Amino acid sequence: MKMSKLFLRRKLWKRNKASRKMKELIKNKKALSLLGQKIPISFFILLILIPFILAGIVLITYAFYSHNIDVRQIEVNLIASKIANCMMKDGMLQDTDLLSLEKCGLNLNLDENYINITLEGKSISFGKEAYEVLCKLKGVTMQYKPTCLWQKYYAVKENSESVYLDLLVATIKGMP
Amino acid sequence: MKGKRGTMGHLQWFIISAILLLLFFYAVLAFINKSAAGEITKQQVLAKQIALLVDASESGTELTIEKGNFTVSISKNKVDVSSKSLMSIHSTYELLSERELEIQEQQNKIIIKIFK
Repeated sequence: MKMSKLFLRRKLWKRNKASRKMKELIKNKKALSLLGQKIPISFFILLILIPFILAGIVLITYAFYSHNIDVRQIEVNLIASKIANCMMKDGMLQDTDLLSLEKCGLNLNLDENYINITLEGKSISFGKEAYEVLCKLKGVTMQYKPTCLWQKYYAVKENSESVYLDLLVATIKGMP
Repeated sequence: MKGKRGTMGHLQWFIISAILLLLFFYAVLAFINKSAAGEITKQQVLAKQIALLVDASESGTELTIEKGNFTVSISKNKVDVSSKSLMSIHSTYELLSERELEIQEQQNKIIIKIFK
């Protein structure tokens, strides 16, 4: 106990001594020793301050001049048409049992997208389901609200029975 | 002698720090110039336009796009646009679909052939 107190006191004394020395150096405009060479203290201050000032200028410039071009509305339309083309050929409904995004030629990041396909009461989903909830929110302004598209397609089955294919596509791709 | 060595040390330190500061200033000025001229936004627009065009095109389409002073590359389903200058910033945008492409670069045009 006594030993640790002594150790702490010694440590504090050493730290105070170092800070006192530093203050003295700045006050007297003396030089610091680095790699065996004497360097004026003003150099250190300049070298520390300038990068911070420049980084600040860069950040302000970037915030002022950068614009994010939002193309999500086009993207959701593209995804919906690709899925529809994959599920239907000339209006005829194809086999949907083994439906996958890879089969439709889509290479989507499922963390940024959500797709829900509803056909005859059956629903298949890909991606983050939370986006569906966000899509249904009305009157709420959010920075990262996904762009959503509800699309209804009319298709004919092999037995000439007509069905509706409901698609919900949501994406937050390209958001800063 | 000791004094002379001290002066030499100061000079070396001064030259190194001056060069580093100049490089840093150059990088910052180049970035500000590019941002103010809208070059970064133009890059972003070009990357997104190419990605959307490739995604929307049917197989067998040949696209001819004016790329200006930018360098365009498409690899691993990503469109990458960068400027030809020393301090270039990359703008990338992912494709939605997996496509088989061939890219030919001409003076200020890029020809993209979509096979599949």
